[in-house]
Amino acid sequence: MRRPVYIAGRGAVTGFGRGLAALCDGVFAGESALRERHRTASFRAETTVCGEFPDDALSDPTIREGDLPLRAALLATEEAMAEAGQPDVSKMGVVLATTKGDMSGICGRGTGMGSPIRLGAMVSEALGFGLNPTGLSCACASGVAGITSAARRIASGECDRLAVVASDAVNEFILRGFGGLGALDPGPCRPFDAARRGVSLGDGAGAVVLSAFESESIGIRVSGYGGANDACHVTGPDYDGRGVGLAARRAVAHAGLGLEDIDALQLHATGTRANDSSEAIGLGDLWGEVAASTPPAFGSKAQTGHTLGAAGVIESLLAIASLERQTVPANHGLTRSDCDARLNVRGQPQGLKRANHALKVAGGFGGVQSAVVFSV
Amino acid sequence: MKPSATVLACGVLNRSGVFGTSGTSTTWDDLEADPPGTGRTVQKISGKTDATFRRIDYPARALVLACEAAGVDKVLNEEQRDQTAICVETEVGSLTTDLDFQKSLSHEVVQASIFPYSLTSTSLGEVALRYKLRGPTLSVSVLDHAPGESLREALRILAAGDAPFVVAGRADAARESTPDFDVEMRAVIAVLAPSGDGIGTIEWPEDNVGDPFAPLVRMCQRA
Repeated sequence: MRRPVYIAGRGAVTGFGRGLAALCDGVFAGESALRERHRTASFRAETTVCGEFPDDALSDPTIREGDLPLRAALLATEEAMAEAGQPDVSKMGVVLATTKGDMSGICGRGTGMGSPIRLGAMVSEALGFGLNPTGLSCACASGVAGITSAARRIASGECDRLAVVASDAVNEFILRGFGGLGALDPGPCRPFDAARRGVSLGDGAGAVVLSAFESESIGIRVSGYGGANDACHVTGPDYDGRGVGLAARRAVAHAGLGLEDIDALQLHATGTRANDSSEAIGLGDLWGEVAASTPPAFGSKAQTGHTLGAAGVIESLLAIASLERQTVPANHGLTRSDCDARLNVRGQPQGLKRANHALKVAGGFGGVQSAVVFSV
Repeated sequence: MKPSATVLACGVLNRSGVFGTSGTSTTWDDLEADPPGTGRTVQKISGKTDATFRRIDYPARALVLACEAAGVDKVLNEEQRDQTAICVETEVGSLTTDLDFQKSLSHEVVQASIFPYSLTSTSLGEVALRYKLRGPTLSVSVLDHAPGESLREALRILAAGDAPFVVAGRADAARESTPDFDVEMRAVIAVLAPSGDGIGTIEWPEDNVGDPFAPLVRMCQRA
C-alpha cells in the first residue's frame, strides 16, 4: 500500500530574487529575469544574458561564486521549512539535487570538487537534519528525480518527511561548456519559437518539503512519478520524443490517472532546436492517443534561465502555481511555434477549465527523462 | 521490513581485471590494456564491436565493461530491458573529465565534446543506449564513508514496483587520484529483480557495516 505524499512547504531563490512569491509573481506576470551578464560578464561565452541571482537576493554581495549553490540552497530550504511549519528536523533528511554543486576546487583554488553529496551534507549539517543526506545528479532532470526519490521513500513508509533541495549557479565551466556545444542563444532564449537559437542559463535554488501527513499539506499531492531513458544518444534527444513520452506516460499511470485527466503541462523547454522539437513530438504523440492536442503547456526557462539541476524543483513550483492560479502563464518569447502543433503552447496565458492535475517533465544529458504529477 | 532483491547477474572491473557471472574472467595483462580499457577491450571481452568506446569517459568505460562481464543483455531480454532502471553511485564522479575540461578553458577552443561527461548521468546514458535500458535513470553521489545508497534506492524502486529490474552498482574511475579523492578504479554492477531465481540475494545495506558491494564481488568470484 502506497502512502500519499503531500507538499508541505516550498522555497526558491532565482533570478527574480529571494522567495517563491517573487518567482511565481514574476513568471505569471510575463516578466523575465534574464539580464545582461554581470557576475559572469568576464567569462567568454556566446551569449549576452544570464538569469543571475540579483545582488541583494543572497544578503551578501561579496559571497564567493563557489558558495552560491550552498547559500541559495539554505535560503530556499529555510523558506520551505517555514511554510511547512518548522517540522522536527531530527527526523528529517535532505535529498540534494544538483548538476555539480560547488566547483571552486575544479575551477580555482577552492575546496569544492563538484560533489553533489558534499553540498547535501553541508545543507544537512547547517540546518540540523537528523537523517543522512542523499545526493543526486541527473543533469538537468536532477530536481524532478529528487522529488521522485523522496516521494518513493515517504510513500513506502521509510520516513515521514524529507526536504528536496535543488541548487546550481552558473560559472565559467558551465557557461563555456554549453557555449562550446553551440547550445547558447546569443540573446534571451525563445523556447518553441521558430527563431529559437538555444538555451539561456540561470542561477537557481528550489526546495520542497514532502510529508506523509495531509494535515501538513498546502493542498497539493505528489500523486505520481515516472522515469525513462532515451537510450539513443547521450547528449542529443530522441528525435521522436519517445523518452519524454514514456516518462510522462509512466508518471500519469503511476498517479492512477488517464492522459485526459491532466490539466496543465510544465515543460522542459530549453530553447534548443532539437530539444523543443522532440519534446513537442513526444508529448504530441502521447496526447494524440486521446485528444487533438495536449493540455495547456508552458516552459519558463525564457524567464528564469535554465537553472540546470535546480530547474526540476523550481519548475515544479511553477507547475503547482499553475494549479493554484488556474492558469498557465505565457510562453515568454514565443511568437510563432514551428514545433508539433499538438503541443498546446501559446505566447499568451491560458486559463484552465479544470485545475486538478499538473504534469512536470524534465530531461538531461545521458538521455535521462523524469516526470512527476502534482494533484489538488 | 527492509526490502531485499534477487541478484540475476553481476560484474566487476577493478585494478586486477574484469570478471563476472557471464563467465568473463580476465586480467589487464591479458587484455593488454590499462583500466578502464581501450577501444579494443570490449571486443576482447565479449566479441562485440564498440566503435565509440574509446571516446567515452572513464566511469562509462568501467560500467560498460562491468555490464559485459555480467552479461546484461543475456540475462534480460529486449522487452525486460525496455523497463529496466539504472541506479549507480559514485564518490569521485566525473573527476577526470572535470579537470580535463577545466584545463581546456585556457585554450582558444574548449574541448566541447567532453563537456557532457562532466555530468555523471551521461556515463549512465552510455550504458542505457548500449543495452537499450529505458527505465528510470538515477545517478547517486555518495561520500566515501557512506556507500550503498544506490543499492538502497534500487531496492526501493523494486519494492515499489516502479521498475521490474534495476541495473545497480557503483563506479569510481578516474585517471589519477587527487588530494580530495583516492580513486580506487572500480565498477561493480548487479542486475536485480524483486524476487525469483538468481545467483544470490542482496540485502538492505545498513550504515557503517563495511563495503555493501563486497557480496556482489564474491558472487562474481565464485562464478
